[in-house]
Amino acid sequence: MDKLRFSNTNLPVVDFHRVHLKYDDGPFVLKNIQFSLERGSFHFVTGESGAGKTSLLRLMYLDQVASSGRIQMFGQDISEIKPRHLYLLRRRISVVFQDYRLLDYLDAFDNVALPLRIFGMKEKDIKKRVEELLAWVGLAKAMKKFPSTLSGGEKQRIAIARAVITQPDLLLADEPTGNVDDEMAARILHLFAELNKMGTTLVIATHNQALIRQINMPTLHLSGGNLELIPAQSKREGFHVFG
Amino acid sequence: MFSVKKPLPFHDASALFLIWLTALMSFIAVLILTASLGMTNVIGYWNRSVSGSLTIQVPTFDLKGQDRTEMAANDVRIIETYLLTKPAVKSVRILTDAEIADLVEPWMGKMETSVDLPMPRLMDVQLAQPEAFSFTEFQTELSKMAPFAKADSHRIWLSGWVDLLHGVQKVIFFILTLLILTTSVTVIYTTKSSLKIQSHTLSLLKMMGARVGVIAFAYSCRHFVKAFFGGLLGLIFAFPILWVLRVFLKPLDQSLFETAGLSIVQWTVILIIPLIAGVLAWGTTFVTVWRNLREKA
Repeated sequence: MDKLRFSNTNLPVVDFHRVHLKYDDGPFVLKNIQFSLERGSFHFVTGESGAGKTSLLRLMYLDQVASSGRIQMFGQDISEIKPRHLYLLRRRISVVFQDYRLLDYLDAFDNVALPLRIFGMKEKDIKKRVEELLAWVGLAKAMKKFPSTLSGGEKQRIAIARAVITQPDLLLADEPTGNVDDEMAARILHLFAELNKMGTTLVIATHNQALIRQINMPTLHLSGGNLELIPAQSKREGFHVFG
Repeated sequence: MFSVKKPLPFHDASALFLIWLTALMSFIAVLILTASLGMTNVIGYWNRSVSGSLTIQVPTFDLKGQDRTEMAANDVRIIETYLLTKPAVKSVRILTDAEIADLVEPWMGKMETSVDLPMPRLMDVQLAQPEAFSFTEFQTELSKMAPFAKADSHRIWLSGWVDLLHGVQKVIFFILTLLILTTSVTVIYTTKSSLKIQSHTLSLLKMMGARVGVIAFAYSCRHFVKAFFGGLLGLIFAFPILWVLRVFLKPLDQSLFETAGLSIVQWTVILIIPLIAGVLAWGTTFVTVWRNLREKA
């Protein structure tokens, strides 16, 4: 695992260089994408439906291979990493999905504990950590509840808790507030801001302009497969767009 | 690593199918393996105690009813001398009148040895190396030494039965191989279909950084438990059948029945069938999951 660790913490967490993506023989979904995200940065990804937001995130969480171009994650060119070692990078990335992707047959506790069990943590430590985190997201009393009995907001918070429990270096969220009311959206955003303060690099794909205005961070805007930078009005740290 | 208490969160109905499949396969395996081991014991017994011997009858009366007791005694001595020169022969024993009377008792009842019955002289020959002894050659020699004498090799009449049992054993081995293959192929397809059902969970685990080997291990442990449980069910279902067969077979031939009885080692082999089923399912599942996920890593 050490050889995939940062050799230099100043290296960008994500670095895309002339990345193109198309599915099979279809048209290019992403065209000549170039950007890099510094450690501890916070970015929104915006764009119309079908603009390529989810595809961009999939490239970042290593679920999709680019058609061309170079992607570096944590300073490592992912095309040079053997498939059997990719799990090491994936362990540093967490994803919050729009549809939550909770496992229906596991209760809230076990859903949140899942990444820690994959990491091989002891059950005693898992219990402590999961209970603390569920309390933090306001779901201490819902630990034994199954997803089918939870509201949209509660499911979203479980999904967020599951994503942050491993203290990832990079957190990607796809429409994390898409299914919750404004009050819950604000609470979720507050959670993300807290995480960002602790050093996690955040990328949030959203349609919610109110959310973007609320935090005032740089935005990666996708349109027709092209990426455009919309800098934060007052804060531009940790973000670079090339070309 | 996932613990047994908190295994990978896979949940689908294919596990139930695996339990019943291995229960059926183990049930059949227990029955035919018990039969095969019983046959092995019978064949072994025959090879050890019966086929390594032959009996020679020297009649004391010729076809016309003339008493040739003295000649028969002479023939017996000549035959004994001849046999003892053969390296393949271990021992030659001439049965006493009392022993002959005991042998015919089941048919003729208790009788005095002095009763004037045309009892032949009997010789029990034990062979050290049955394969090295040419029965045909001996018969030729015997007809020259004592034209009225008859040799009876148990190996010859037993060889038909032994061949039959060997044939049955081959069929059983073939069926066992088929059972193992069928179970393996079914486990492979059950696992593949389960992987499709679980694709959502698997992609989630992959994104969380689960290693292919860990997923395969957890998956195969889950199948091991199901197959082991199924194997136990098969074993439990098979025992009443074996008991019924025992009840029906026992009166047929007591000595044969006792010979076919299984040893502790053989019973152990039968009892570990559920474990074998579990290990088979474990290995097959591990390879299937590992290969399947490796391609998608």
